[in-house]
Amino acid sequence: MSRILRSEFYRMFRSSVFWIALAAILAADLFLSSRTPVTTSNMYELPRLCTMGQFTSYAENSTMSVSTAKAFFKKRGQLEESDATDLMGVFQDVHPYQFRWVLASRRGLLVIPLVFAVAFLALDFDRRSFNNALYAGHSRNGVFFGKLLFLFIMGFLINLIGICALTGIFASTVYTRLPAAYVWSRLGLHALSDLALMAPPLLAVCLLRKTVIAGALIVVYDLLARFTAVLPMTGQSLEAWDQGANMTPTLLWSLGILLVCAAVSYVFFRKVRLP
Amino acid sequence: MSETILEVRDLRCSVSGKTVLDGLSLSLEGGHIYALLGQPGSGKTSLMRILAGLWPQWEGTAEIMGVSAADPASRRETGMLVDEPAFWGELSPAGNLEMQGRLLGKPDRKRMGKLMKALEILPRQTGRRPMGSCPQSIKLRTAAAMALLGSPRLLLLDELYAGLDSDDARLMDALLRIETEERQMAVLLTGSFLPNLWLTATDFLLLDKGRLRAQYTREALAARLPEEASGAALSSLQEALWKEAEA
Repeated sequence: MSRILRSEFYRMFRSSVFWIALAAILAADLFLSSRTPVTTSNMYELPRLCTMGQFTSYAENSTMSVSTAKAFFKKRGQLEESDATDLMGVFQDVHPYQFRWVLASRRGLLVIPLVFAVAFLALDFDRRSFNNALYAGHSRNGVFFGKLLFLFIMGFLINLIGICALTGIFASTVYTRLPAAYVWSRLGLHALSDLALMAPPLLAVCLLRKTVIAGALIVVYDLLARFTAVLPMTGQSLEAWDQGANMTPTLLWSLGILLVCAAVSYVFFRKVRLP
Repeated sequence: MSETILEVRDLRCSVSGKTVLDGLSLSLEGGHIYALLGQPGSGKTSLMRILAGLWPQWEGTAEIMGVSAADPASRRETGMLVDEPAFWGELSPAGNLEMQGRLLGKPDRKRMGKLMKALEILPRQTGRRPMGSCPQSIKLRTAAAMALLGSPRLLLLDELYAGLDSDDARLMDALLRIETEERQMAVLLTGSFLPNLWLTATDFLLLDKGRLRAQYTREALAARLPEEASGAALSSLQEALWKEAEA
């Protein structure tokens, strides 16, 4: 399986599909970060949404004292300690609560790693390059699980890079105030929880093995995931940003979906005649 | 005495209720280049697919170097080009060879260079051009080089010669002869047209309706041809062979 993984990474770094997916997700995250309205419904009596610039302007002109603001957030359990000396600093220390809205708004971007994964795997079937691994003496199981593992690693990394880019720009000052281990664990948990979203499309690819049909299904799937509550795992990854949140059920749920989809794909794929 | 590389006995396979291999038996020895001749639908590609591990359901015996074709280990010393060439369209010809090398284990760049030189897959011509946009000739030559990359003892080339022009066929012939002799490799070429394979093969197998009908050495067939064997003479011979096999 390690040979499959190594060769897939070699192929990926030389594949235009990967660089296009990465560029697209970075561009989209940069665009999103420049347009981000921050939720302030839990802060003072400001309008529900305002931009960072608007908040800065409010903080500069507000007559509310820094100590009152700190007490307000501590009472709500949204602030532990803060050495901020101005309202803007308090606002930043209240993070990562503010990430929730921003990260929820980027859920639509998950379609990019989805399309990447589907294109990468389905093209392998369409061009029959999947067979080359069998010709090289690998077992079907080895090839199947090697590719599946690779796609989940890549889906995770592409998603993680996007979240890092978005939050790194949107809240870089917050990151400097929080312990690095805390930030990375939140980022990792968020990206890991999103992996469940990738499992059903991979199932479709393994069953259909046609790029165009699988691609069309992805669009329908993405719309379902975005605009309906049909898919139970959507949105759960945001819990990663809640202080003290127990992510175990979310991660188990995500892992369960992955395992079920991988198992169903494998059962169908195991005996299929490849062209 | 040459070593038996491939042993097939009473091989049977059906697809959607239709029998494609009906008790096929054949044996290939090292140092020979076999041409498996048969009309479309005779079972040539089905045999290749079984040996390649693409079709997991079949009955009978198929062993490569004593290991069942059902076992992936049997393909570690086998090079294959089944049906149309399978490659990664986004990679260059050299990238495809590197990728196949990685799948085989550690890429052997010396061997890669040797094959590219022998088959004239010249980086100055192909550069970093993706395989998908390369001419068919380059695709076929690269696919053949990928099949040969792991220095196999058994080489399966399905319908390769049908797609090669005369220059490509000449390069391929020279390489196959050297490799077959050097490593006592067995080569199985499939095709439906005797003239395409005449210059390359040392032995000829006739396949029809999933069964082996006859087997000839090159010398035996050459004796039935005029001294200057033309394409027309070879076609006539092929027709005669089929009639004999049917009788």
